[in-house]
Amino acid sequence: MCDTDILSDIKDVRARLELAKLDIRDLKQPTQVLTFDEDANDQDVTLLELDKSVLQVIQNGGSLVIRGNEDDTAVLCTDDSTFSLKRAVTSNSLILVPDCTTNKDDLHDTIDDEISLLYRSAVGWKSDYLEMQRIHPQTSRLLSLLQQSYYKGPQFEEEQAGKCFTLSELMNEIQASEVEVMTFLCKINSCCIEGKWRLLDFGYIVECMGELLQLIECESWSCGRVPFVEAVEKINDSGELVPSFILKHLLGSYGFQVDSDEDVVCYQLDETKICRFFAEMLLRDVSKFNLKEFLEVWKSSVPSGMVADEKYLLGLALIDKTSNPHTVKLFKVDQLPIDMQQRFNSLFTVKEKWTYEQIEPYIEDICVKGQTVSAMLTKHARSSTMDGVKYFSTRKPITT
Amino acid sequence: MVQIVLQPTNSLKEWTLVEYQGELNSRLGNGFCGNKIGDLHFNSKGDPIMIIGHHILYGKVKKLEKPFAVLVKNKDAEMDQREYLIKAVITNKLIFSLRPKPIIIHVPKKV
Repeated sequence: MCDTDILSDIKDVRARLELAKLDIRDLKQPTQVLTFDEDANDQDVTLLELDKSVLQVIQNGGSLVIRGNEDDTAVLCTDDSTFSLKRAVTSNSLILVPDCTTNKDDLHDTIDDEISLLYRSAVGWKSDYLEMQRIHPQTSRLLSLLQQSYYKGPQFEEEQAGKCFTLSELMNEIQASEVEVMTFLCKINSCCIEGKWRLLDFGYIVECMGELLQLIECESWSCGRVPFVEAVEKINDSGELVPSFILKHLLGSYGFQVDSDEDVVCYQLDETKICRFFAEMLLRDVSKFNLKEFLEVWKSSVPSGMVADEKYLLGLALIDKTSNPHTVKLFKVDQLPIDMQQRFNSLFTVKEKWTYEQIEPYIEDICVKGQTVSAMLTKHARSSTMDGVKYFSTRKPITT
Repeated sequence: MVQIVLQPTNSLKEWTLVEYQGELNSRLGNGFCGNKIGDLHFNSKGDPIMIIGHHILYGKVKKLEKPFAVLVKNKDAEMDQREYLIKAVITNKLIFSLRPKPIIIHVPKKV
């Protein structure tokens, strides 16, 4: 732009200020003239409203992925979180200016009524944008994919008809971030066999754990110190009963590796996990169990040195003390809906009143960052106090 | 499954959003392209003032509680791969939420 144009523009700006009765001495410089580009439009650019954590990801150069099948609502994933995406419309006009001075520190007082003019171009306008909200990853689909083909042992692999999935195949099917998928795979004790993520058939787990626990008893080992290599050798000394990778997986699922001074890898079995394993084994094939009888059988079946405590049943089984006699039944969190409202609906259908301790394990798995079980209870449940104990019940008539 | 990658550009720019209440209309009725929007001034407090046509608008500089990412389709991406570039982020906006004040030019003289 040549100087005479700028001079005439400055003259125009000055004239408009006078008409608007604005005193130039009260204003800062530079003055900026905003003009739409020749090819400005409302299509080329999409605005995405960012969660603070996602802004950081972008600023560090990290990429985002929008995932979904034709019929899905799109979700947006970072490496470790999942967000829902929704289009929001505003009645305001949003104008995009790539280069604009707005910071007070970049502006200066007007000296001698001098106007310094800058031309700023607007590249587009919008009246809508995408909103994101943190959601629980779509893990129910992940679970149902893995349930297509349980691992029942090496000898059954040939007749295995269902499809098995590698991590990248799973990522291509699931609307979730990779870290969330891995976390979920660990949580459900999925085992990576020849690159594919598998669930072990419960009957097979019972068989293998039986061998392991029997060996521990025979050898008079402590559950706090199971030597891995020796265990593999002894279990398989007359033909392969439990492959070593399965044994390792089970020791990792129901226990953890302990530090040892010698060169021997040792595992400690976790009392809670082992007791829950036995409870599930006893309860899984019956709809209900007499509580008193169950507790007797359960306590006598767990390995010596372990004490089966009723508290281990939280989040695994429901105890009904309103019936006579008292009963207990298996109730696992895995099969419940992952939508918060639907989750509460199913919980209150199964049981009318819950204590905090009882309901917590059935809620906490779907709480996303920033959500707490207490806050969810305040929102979705009604509390009442009976005999000094606080109970939670439904807020609304149950819809089925 | 469709996967669309949003890739930040190497030098992430900072853009500004200018927000007006209601719709902006072109006086000439020929759309916005190439047309002037108005003069942007700042008063001594650092608040923006815009003169658009025969209107004066008083606004504020506001830090966005939730910033925006500016997405642009990547035309260079391979055919089978849909990709968007994150060209810029917007953390500040100029918001003109008050009703525009008309500028009165012809004051009728008292007879």
